[in-house]
Amino acid sequence: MKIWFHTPPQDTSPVDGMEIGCFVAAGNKEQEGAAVEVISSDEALPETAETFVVPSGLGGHLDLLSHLAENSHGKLIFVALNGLGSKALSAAHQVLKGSHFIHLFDAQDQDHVSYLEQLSWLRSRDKPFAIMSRSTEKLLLAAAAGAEHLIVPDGSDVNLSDISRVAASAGAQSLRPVSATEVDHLAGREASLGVAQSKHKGETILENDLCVIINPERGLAPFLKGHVIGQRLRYGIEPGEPLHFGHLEEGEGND
Amino acid sequence: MTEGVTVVIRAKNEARWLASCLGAVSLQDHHDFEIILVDNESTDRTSEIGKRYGCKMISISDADFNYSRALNIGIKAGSKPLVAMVSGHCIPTDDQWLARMAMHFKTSGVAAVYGRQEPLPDSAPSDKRDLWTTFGLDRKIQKRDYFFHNANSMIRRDIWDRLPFNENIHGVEDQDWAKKVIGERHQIVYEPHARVFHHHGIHHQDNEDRAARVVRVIELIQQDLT
Repeated sequence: MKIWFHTPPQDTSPVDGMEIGCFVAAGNKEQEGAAVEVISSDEALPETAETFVVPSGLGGHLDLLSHLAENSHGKLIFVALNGLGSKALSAAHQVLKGSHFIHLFDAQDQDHVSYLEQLSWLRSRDKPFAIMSRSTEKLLLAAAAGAEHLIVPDGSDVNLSDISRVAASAGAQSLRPVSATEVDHLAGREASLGVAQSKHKGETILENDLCVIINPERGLAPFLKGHVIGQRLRYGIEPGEPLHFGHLEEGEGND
Repeated sequence: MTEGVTVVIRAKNEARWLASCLGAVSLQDHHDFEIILVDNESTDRTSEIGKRYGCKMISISDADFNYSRALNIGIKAGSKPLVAMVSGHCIPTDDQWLARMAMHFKTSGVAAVYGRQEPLPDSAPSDKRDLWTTFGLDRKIQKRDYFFHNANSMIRRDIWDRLPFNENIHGVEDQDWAKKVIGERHQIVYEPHARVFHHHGIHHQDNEDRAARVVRVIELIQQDLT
C-alpha cells in the first residue's frame, strides 16, 4: 500500500508494508516524485511527477483524460469516479484505453452509507483502487477493503501503524486476525479439553474420558481431541482442570 | 506482511522433555513455522527425537558452546521474519502459544515478546516460587525495563540481523540484547497468554554458582560494559 500525504504526519517512522508519498494539489509548487493533481487539459505535465490525480468532478472531462493519456508516458493516473454514471465511466475508460490508470474515490463529504456503498463496489471489481480522505476512520475502512493507495489531501493526524495493521490483515498473506484485544476479550471464556473423571499419572486418555470445559486458564482446544486420545498422562488431572500439552508424555516417558 | 516463524530450540540431553516440547510446537495454530534444533553434544536421544519431528539439526560442540552463539547459529540457519526461542525443556501449554506472541508484531515498534512461564506439578518449590513471582498475569509494554527471557520469547529477525546476541557474555544474553533494543526506542512486550511450562524454573533451584555467574553478567549489563 502507498499513502500519499499533502502534509506528512509528525511520526513517519518506517511501517511494514507501507510506502509514503507526497500529494501536490493543483496550482501548488511541484515536488519530485509526487502525485500531482491536474485540472486543466492546457497545462504541461511535470516530468518529475510520479503519478497524476484527476480530482473529484473532473473524471468526466474527456479532454483532460485525453491529455493525460497522451502525455503521461505510462505513469499511473488516479481518476476520480465521483459523480460518473455508467455511460460516463465507459467513455472515460475508452479515452484512457492503453494508459495506466486506476479508480479513485474522493470520500470527503460522503456520508457513511454512501462511502461504504462505493467502497463495496470498488472492492467487488477485484481491481486496484484508491481512496482520498482526511478521515482516519475512512482510511482504515479503505485499508480493510484492500485499497492499494490512500490520498490524504491536507493536514491530518493519521495513525500509520493502525492503517498498516489493517492493510496487512486485508492482504492474502496475512493470518486470521488475532489481537491483544481479542485475546483479552476471550480470556476466561474459551473452551478447552478436560476430563469427565479423575485420571492418574501414567493412565491412557480414552475418548470417553474427555469433555469440553470453560476454565479461566486456557488449555488444549477441543479440535485437538483426536491428538489427545491414546496418549499417556505425565501428570494426573481432575475434572474441571484444562488439559495442557504438559500433561501428555508424547510417547517418550522419562528417558 | 508475512508472519512466518523460525522456532529455535537449544538442547543438551533434553530427551525427557523434548518430545513434549516438539509435539506442542508441531500442533500450533500458527502454521507457517520451521524448527531449528541446536544440539550441544547430547548423549541421550535428543538428536533422534529432533529428527523425528522434522527439525533442522545444528550441532555445537562443548568447546564452541556459548548460550548466545548457540542462538545465533540457530537463528542464522532459519529464514522466517520472526524468531521464537524456547528451551528444549519448556512445553507450550496450548495450541496458540506462537500466535499469541506473533500478534504483537503487527504493531510497529515492537522488537520482542516474551511469555509467561509456569512450573509443572513436580517442579521444586523454589522454582515454583520464582516462576509465580516473576511472571504475572498482566500484559506489560516495556519501554525502559529490559527484563526479557529467552526460554519463551519471540524477536524480529531484521533487528537480530543488526544486533545478534552478544557472544562475549555467558548467559543473560536476553537482557543484554533487550537493553540495547530498548536503547533504540523499541518496545518489549510481556504477553501472559503465551505460556509454557518450565520444569527447572529460571533460577535452577537456587544453584549458587549459577547465581554468581548471572549476577556478574547483569552487573556488566547495568554498567553498559558488555
